[in-house]
Amino acid sequence: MKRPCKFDKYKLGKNVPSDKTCRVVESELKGSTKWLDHLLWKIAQPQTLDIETTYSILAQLKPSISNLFFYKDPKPPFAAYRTHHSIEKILLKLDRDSSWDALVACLGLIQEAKYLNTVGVLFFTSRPTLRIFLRIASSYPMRFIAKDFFQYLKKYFLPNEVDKDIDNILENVNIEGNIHYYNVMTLFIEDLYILKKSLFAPTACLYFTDKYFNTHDVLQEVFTFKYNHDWKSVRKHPTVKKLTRAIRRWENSKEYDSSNLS
Amino acid sequence: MTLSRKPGHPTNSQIDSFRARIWYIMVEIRLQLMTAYAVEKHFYPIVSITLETRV
Repeated sequence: MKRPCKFDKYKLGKNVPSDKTCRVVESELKGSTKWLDHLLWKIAQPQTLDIETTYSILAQLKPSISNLFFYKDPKPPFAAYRTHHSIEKILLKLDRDSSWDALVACLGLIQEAKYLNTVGVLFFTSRPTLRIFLRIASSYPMRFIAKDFFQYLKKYFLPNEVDKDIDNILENVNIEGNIHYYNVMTLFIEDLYILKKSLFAPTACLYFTDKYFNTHDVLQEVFTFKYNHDWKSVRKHPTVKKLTRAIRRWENSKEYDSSNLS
Repeated sequence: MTLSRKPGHPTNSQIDSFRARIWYIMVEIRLQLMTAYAVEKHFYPIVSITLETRV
């Protein structure tokens, strides 16, 4: 049986599937349409969105993230429910979450800052947004569009006038290198067998690898043991011990439960 | 806000293009998984029902 050629157009992003096609596919593959209607596409519009649209998108994120922005059960007008949590606190939580919802929240913060013209906020948001994006870029299905989507973010969302170094950082981002690095890290965590509740390492684990493998020397030490199949020494390495403890603590925390809701 | 989804119409923004690509990839991956499962279980009819896109 031959595949209709319209699927080649979807593959290349030339056409968007019609409602009928979505319905047919959804009836066989439950949950496929949610990727087409993901909040990321609504928030990542090149033009500045009005504040109520931005807030209505943020209010639809999983509770652990929308609670950072709104008091309980926000209804329109969403601006009335907006919290005044500090930007650092919100970004720290999003950084630890590193999910698609976290990326939407970061872009929401940027949209909000552009609308309210609060340039200072843009200074804080660009780097965490880039970090979260790079972690997600190594996972399915983002890795397939990562290169192009990065160029898109680089054009419309990440640059700002306050952070003088950001342009330099953006110019030197090696997307393929990052995808490879985070793949290695994901496989490393899975090979350590420290995850009890999930088979595959969620992107949130990459926050911990970034935190603990923070120098080249540590990375080299651990991976020399790994490539020599000396897993006993890998597990006994102080950094790996810290990483293991942190991931286990995270898996047993409320943060883990809420990170699986999306 | 509604995102455009017109039958057979070309994507009119970069975002629409990303959406279509991600949707296709998710469908493709799951079809491959289903195909692998069906072959393993010797249960081919599932594959022919699915979208009529794969053998």
